[in-house]
Amino acid sequence: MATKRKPYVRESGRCWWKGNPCYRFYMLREGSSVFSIWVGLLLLLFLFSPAVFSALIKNPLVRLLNSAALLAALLHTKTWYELAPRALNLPEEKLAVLVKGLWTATIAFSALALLFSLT
Amino acid sequence: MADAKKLLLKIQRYNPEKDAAPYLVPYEIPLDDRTSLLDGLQYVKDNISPDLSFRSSCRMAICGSCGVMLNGEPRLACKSFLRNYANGATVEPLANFPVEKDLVVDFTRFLECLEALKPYITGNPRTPDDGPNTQTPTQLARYHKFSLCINCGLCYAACPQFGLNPSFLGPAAITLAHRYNLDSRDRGKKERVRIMNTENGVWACTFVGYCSKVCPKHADPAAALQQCKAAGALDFLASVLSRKKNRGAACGDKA
Repeated sequence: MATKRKPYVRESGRCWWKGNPCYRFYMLREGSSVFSIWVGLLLLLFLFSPAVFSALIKNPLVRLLNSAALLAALLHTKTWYELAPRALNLPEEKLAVLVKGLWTATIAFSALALLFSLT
Repeated sequence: MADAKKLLLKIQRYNPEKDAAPYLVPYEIPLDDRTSLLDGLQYVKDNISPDLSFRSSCRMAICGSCGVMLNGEPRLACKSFLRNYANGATVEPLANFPVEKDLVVDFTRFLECLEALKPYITGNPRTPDDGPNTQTPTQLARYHKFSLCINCGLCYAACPQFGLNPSFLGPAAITLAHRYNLDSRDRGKKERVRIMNTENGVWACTFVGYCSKVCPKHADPAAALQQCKAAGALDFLASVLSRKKNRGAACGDKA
């Protein structure tokens, strides 16, 4: 007897991420890395032409972009610290301690870098 | 019964013998605080539409048969209470799988992946005469979380990478393979890792993380996949170093 099966396949379209808050946040998380290209280009400019760099970073548009880059970096750091330690097969309580340690190290290093750059 | 609370349940229907594409049909069902989605589906089948097809068995989140999309979220029908959906709910078959009929999907691809990765203890030379294998609580703790998987397929429905690339081995199959790789009684890791480290293995995962959020048993497949990636990267590094060392030794021999 011929089969009467006719499985219906639902294709994932290009906008697969739009309908689910978790997917939208994933796209935001991954999209936050785009700002690291901007910061990388800015640092390259500093290496090759410090005078142009100093003038450019005072531009209001660049300040806005840098503020967005800082927020994106914070979001990426937060999600990274929550996700990456899970690559270690550690018990939940040790994972929580590790994430706290990572944040402490980040804050301490950022404070030191800020202090060093201001003095 | 006339005073019973009612809920509008929109259920996706598809009859392969008649329909060109699936469509939603609204059903009004009575409910109280204890009515699960599975109870609701059974009410529709018993009282309104006897030809409604869905899978179920244990009714207690053990067998993993009754996975569906509830308002777009992969869930076990028996573990979802309709009291939480006062404004009505839409029920569709699990995403990313071909639909056979109504809420029944074709799990073939998932089962093929599972079979290929041999999720059972293999290669252990002990015989029954040697007595049971011993295992310490610490050894058990290494894989226990991953052993909670019930093969319900919710993580496949949650995984956009599996939706975009059905060749991906997928979260549950890799989680179960990892569970046996971590088991001190198992000797099959080498064979599994060969499949897991292919292009459609662990590296097809981009850590969306939704699989772990929807897992009804908290088996954390996303973590299992990241651990497999870390192990795969270390294996690769070790193989590169040993190749270099061997090449150096071979050059030394020649000299």
